[in-house]
Amino acid sequence: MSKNTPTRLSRRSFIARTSGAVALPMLFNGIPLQAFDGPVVNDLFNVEAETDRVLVLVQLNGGNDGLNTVIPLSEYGTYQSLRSNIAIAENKVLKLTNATGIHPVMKGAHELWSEKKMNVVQGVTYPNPNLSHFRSTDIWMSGSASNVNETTGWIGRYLNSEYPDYPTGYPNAKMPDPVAIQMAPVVSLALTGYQNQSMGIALQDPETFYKLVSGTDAPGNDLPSTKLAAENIKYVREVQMKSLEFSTVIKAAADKAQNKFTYPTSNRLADQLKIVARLVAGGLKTRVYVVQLGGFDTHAAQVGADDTMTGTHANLLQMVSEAITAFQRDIEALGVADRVVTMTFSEFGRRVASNQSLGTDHGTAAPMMFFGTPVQDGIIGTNPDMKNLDNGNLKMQYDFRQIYASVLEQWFGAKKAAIKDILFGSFSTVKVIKSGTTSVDSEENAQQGNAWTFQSIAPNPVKSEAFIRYELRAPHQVRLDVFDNLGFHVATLVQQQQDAGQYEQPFSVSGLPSGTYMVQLTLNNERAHQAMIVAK
Amino acid sequence: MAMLDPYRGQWTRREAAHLMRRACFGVTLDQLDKAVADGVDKTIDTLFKSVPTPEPPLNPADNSKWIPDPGQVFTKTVVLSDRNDPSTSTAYDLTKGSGYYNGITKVWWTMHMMTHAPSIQEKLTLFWSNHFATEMSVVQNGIFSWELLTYMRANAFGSFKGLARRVTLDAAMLRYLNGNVNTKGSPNENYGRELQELFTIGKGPEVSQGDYTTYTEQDVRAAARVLTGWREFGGRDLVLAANDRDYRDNEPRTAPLFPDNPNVVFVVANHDTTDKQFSLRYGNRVIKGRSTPQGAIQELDEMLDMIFEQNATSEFIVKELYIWFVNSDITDEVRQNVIEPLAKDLRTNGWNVGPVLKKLFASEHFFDVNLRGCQLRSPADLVLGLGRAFPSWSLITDKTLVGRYFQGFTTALASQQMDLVEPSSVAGYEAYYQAPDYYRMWLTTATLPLRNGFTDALLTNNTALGRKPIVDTVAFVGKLSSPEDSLGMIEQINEIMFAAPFVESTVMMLAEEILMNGGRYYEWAMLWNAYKADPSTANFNAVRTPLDRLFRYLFRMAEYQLG
Repeated sequence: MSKNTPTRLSRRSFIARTSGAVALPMLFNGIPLQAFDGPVVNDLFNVEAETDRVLVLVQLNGGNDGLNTVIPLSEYGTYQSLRSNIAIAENKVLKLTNATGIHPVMKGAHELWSEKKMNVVQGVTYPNPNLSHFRSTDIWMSGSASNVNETTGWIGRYLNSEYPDYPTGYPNAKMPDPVAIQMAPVVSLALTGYQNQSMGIALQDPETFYKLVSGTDAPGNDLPSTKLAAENIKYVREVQMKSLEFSTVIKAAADKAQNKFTYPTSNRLADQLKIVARLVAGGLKTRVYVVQLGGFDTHAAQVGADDTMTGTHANLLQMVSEAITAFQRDIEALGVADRVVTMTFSEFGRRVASNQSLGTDHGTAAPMMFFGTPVQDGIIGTNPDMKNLDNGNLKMQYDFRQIYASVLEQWFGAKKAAIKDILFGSFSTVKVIKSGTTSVDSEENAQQGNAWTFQSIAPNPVKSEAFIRYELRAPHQVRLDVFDNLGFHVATLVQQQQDAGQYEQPFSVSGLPSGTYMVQLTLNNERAHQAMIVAK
Repeated sequence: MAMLDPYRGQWTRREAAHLMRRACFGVTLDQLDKAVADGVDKTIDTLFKSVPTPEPPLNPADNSKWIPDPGQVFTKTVVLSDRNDPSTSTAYDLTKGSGYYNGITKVWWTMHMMTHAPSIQEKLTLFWSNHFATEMSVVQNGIFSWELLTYMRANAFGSFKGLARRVTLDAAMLRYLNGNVNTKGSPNENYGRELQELFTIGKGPEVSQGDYTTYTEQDVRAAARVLTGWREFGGRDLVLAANDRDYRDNEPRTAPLFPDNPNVVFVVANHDTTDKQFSLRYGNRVIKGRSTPQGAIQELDEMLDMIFEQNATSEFIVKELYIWFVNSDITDEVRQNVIEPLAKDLRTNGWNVGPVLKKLFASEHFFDVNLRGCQLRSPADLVLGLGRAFPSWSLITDKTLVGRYFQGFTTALASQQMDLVEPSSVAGYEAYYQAPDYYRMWLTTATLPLRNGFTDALLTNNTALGRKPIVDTVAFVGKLSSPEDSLGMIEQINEIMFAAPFVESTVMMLAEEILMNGGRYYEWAMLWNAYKADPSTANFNAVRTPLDRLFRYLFRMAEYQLG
């Protein structure tokens, strides 16, 4: 087996042991102890995973230039001056809000926005960002901290927790279909489960897949006496078995449903999503699909020499927008749109300042986008601060694991303890899926009903200073407190009457040891909580 | 016994086949038996000799020459008087585009890899094209990519440091990693980063932000600045190519500075002449900024000296060679007893890769029974290996079908995810770096069926061969000793074509359930003897059908995927 296995297993068992062994007070200040792992509302999510929920991951390989995808109109002057040779003309930007817009070629995405089917999370990266494509891709795929070499994948660990022992005993009545499918010749690290087994299968076209597999006989059981050869043979036989078993069900699903919307041609992303739509509508119980589009490493000629609205990046964004829009229209026509959420990500964004080759070098934080009927529309976070940079790069607003935690919790209904295991720690969530989609979200409902929202803590994890954001839609007596993980009061940040408006309370953690803290917002008799991780 | 001691164990078809699979994809039965007769030392000597390279390919459309003679700049012969009028060119038909010419290169290379006499040279050339990775579809110049490949082949056994220097100033690489637009005031870090991360010293763990143990982000920026000003000659944009100014920014530029590398020029105004400060990882070295072309070359050489002075550089490349040719699992024992001693050899012998690899291939460690089958066959091992083991191309009578024959193999490589000079990224094919799966990356539910489709097709009638199969099972089995003995025949096939021995029950299963389709194993002798006594069509078909069934099954076995 892999040389990395022992380390990984020991770390996992360590997590399993500690989460069970540490005794916490049952209640403090009226808050159940579970609050330490995330919002109190998570407790209400302790429902079995819905099996018809589908997550489509769209990987934009190469490092998508976030600043030319989601354009900060409110900071247009700074934006324009730092990247004058590639800046998109202000009046061409498609507005999401007065402050923020998207690239002019993303007309389809803009339509989805106006139909309230799009969400943008700003400034997503992780602490100590790595500028290597390969390392940063691994970090995103594995869902681990940048200083940890994790050989399993975040979605693979989630699926493995739902389908233990996979692939032994699979397919079965509960899961007759592949758990995850990657529309590519190889399966990515994101789908690797706890035992380093891939939870997904790779295929490019159901028809060809079926034809080529159908001639294979069931593999034998004999093994040679040498260890490495025997392990390799076992691996190949497992691939053979999976191909055999799944080729029939996949073909049947693909045959059952035909696309009801015309997809753009010469669009590598649309080619993949087109098949995904058929497989979902055809009844596969597959939970996760991974599709990819490469070419985002735009060091040079990102924009055309004569027109910054043209060039490599514009072509790519147009493909993304047209492919995702066609996919959305198709699944709507096929009647499965309520079951599908699409999420885009890339290994990093790009340097704020452009280079003189009409391109941009590797950067850090960038927006992630969500599409779909169940998506909570809106923009999470603020336009990036281009005046306060880290070596020319944007600072983090959200840790990508917060977004993963949000998806696992709000879309798949994963329990918070499971999410903590899967992501190797607790991460506060943001609202990317509409309330009521997975289960009743009483605290969020209460907040909305009472005209105030505890929005976010960013960055989180925090190294030096966190910004705690909340919105009041009416005047309130507000109190904002911080507690440590044993329930001891650390600080009161706000205690006063505040007018309606958007608030951002800074909080320096310089005197605090690393660990999980809880931030509590109290308004009149109501409370909301978010976890804050201090990592130094 | 030290792991690098010369191998003195048994030397049969099994050991020779292991060596040949790893060194040159595979060999015919005759070549294998010659290796057995020659002994291990002589066989390895032979493997480490260069083989002659065939003539460069012509343009098949009209049999015209499109690759310039060594040292010639094709642009000189095709300077366009009108940028928008490709008809003014003759030697390199611009209307066909780089994809067309790259396609010719790929088929030509496939042919050479399948037909050359046993030598490690081509598998090593493939290693270099993966190590110093470029993608033809990004470079978009058939001549640049051809010339880089030709240089790698000619210097495959030679100096790693020499290769690194040449690749740094290579026209295809300058395009691929944006060296062309790396200028003073706007350094482009792409090549400066990959030079260190992937090509020479390798990236260690990130111990603090931007510090990768072996080098830092500061070194990436400093390296980019050292390399400012270098450009390729102009490729397809030829308007000002004969001029002394660069067409991209109209700055004065030099004539080509290297006789054997004529497509590279230097734009003085774009070179950063300030001093370059490297980090503590390189002992806080400062490379003095210079302003002449010769000065820029000196800066580059000082930087390469600085990188190559670090032991990490020799260890990094030896590790990559080891993963390519031996095993992906580098234990502490292997590191101490194989990697580090070979890295030291490399540093002290003038960076020559040939002798280092030869020592590795001749070692006890290479032939360790426990390491047999630790690799899975790459598409090249599978596709080219079978192509080499069954060289039916020699039977093609209609010469116009030769290209089509080899193109089938080129296409098979591409569909199985080993498109030549088209790795998925600058890191090369994933199977050689993606832990923990490594070689397993080649084999997925998508690619395994494609492999099955490929091997099945080898047993069907091929148009280019006048409707004969590429793998003639009857002829092959006829060369074995006592082919009428089905169990012995299967044992021999296993020894020649499989990395790990079959257990006894597998041999019996293959003889009875597959070959004899449910009959008894000894019934095969009657069929074979009848055919030998009277090779009539009926008797031929009576042996061909079971043998084709057997080989089709063998090629689809999990065991066959081991390399």
